[in-house]
Amino acid sequence: MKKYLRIILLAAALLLAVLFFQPYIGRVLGYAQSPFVQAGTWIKTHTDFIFERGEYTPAKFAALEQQRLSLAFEAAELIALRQENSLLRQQLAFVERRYLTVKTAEITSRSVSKHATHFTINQGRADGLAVGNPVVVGDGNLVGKISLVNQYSAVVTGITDLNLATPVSLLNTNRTIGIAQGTIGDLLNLNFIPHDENIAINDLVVTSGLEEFVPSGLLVGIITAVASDPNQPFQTAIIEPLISISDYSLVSVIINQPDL
Amino acid sequence: MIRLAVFTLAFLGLAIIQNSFFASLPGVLPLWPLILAVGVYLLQHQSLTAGAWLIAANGLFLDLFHLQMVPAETISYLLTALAAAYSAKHVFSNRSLYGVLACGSATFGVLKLSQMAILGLVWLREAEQVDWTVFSRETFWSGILLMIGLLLLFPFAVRIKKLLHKSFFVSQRDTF
Repeated sequence: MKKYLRIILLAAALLLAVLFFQPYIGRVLGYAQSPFVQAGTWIKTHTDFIFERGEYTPAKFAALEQQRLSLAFEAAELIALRQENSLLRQQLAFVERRYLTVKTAEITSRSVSKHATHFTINQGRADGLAVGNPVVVGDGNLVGKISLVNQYSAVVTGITDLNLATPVSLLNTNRTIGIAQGTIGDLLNLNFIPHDENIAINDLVVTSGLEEFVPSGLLVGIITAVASDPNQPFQTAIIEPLISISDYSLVSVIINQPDL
Repeated sequence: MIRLAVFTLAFLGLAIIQNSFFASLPGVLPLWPLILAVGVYLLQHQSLTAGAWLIAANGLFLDLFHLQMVPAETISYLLTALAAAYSAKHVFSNRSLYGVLACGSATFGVLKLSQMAILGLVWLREAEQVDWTVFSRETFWSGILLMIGLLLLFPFAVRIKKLLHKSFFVSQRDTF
C-alpha cells in the first residue's frame, strides 16, 4: 500500500513539475527536435518519388505543366493588381503604409494523424507571436495559423485541419469570397458560394483579409472541383493546397497585418 | 534518482525521434509507434514499471504538445499501460517471439479500442469530425509497423538487456 502511495505521489509531483515547466521544456526540446525534423524532411523530399511512383503519368505531367503556365499568368496578374492597389493607396492616402513583420521559426514536431494537422514551432509569446497569426512558407503560401502560444513555443493548426476556417477570395473575374474549411485529409472545402458566382477549376484561392491578423493575398491553393446543386442554397468547391507543410522544416509567422 | 533521470532522458530521446524524425518521414512511416514498441519490449524483457511508465508518459507528452491522434491521449495511453503491464505479467511469456508479438498486439488492441471509444464520443457529438476509414487505415499501418519494430528489437534482446543493466537503467526481468 505504501509503495502504491509513493508511486502516486511521485506521479503527481512529476505531473505538476512538467505542467509548470512545460514552456521551458518545450524551448529546450526545440533545440534537439529541429535537426531531427530537418533530417526527416530531407529524407522525405529526396524519397517522395518512391512513394509517389506510379501516380504520375505523362498525361498528368502535361496537365501539371499547363496548370503551372496558367498559374504563372494568374500570378503575373496578381502582382500587377497588387502594384496598382499599392499605388492607389499611396495616392489616396487612405491609410499609413505599414510593413510586414515576419518571424522565422523552425518546426520542432508534427502530428501524424489525418484527423488533426498540427505542428509545433520554436518561437512563442516572447518572440511576439499571438493566437491567430498566419504561418506561411515560400513566397506567401499560407500553411496554418497559430492556435496556441506558449512563452517560447507555439502550436500551429494547418489550413487543412478540420477545425480551421479561413476567409478566402478567388482570383476570378468576380473576386468571389467564401470560407475555406479544412477536411480530414489534405484538401479544403470552399463553402457558402452563391450560385450566381462563376467559379472554375484552376482558379487561385487567396486569403481575403477579412480576418484579424491575416492579410489579404496569401496563397491558399487552387480550385480542383466544383459542386453546384440547384437544390442547395450555395455552391461548394474543393481547394487543393499548392504546397505541403511536410516538405518544409522552416516557416515564417506574420506577426502584424500588412497593408497589401 | 539517477535511474529516474536516465529514464526521463531516454523517454525524451524516443519522443523526439518519434514526433520529430519519424513524423517528418514520407509515406506511412510517420505512423510508426516507436515508444509503444520500446514500451512493450521493456515490459517483456526488462521491467514492468519502466515499460508501463514509458507508455503512459507518451500519452501525456502527446497531449502536452498537441500532437494527439485523438483527444485525451493521456487516458488512452494510461489504460494501455495498465493493460500491457497486466498482460505481460500474467498472460504472455517473454521466452518466444510469439509471446512478445502477442503482448504487443494485445497492448495495441487496448490502445486502439480506447482511442475508438474516445473518437466514438466525438462522433456522437459531431459526426463530421471523425472519418472511420482514415482511422482504420492509420490503425492498420501503425499495427504493421509496431510488429516490425518488435521483430527488429527481439533479436537484440540479450544485448540490450546487458547494456541497460550496465547503465543502471532498469533491472532485468527473469525469463518466464
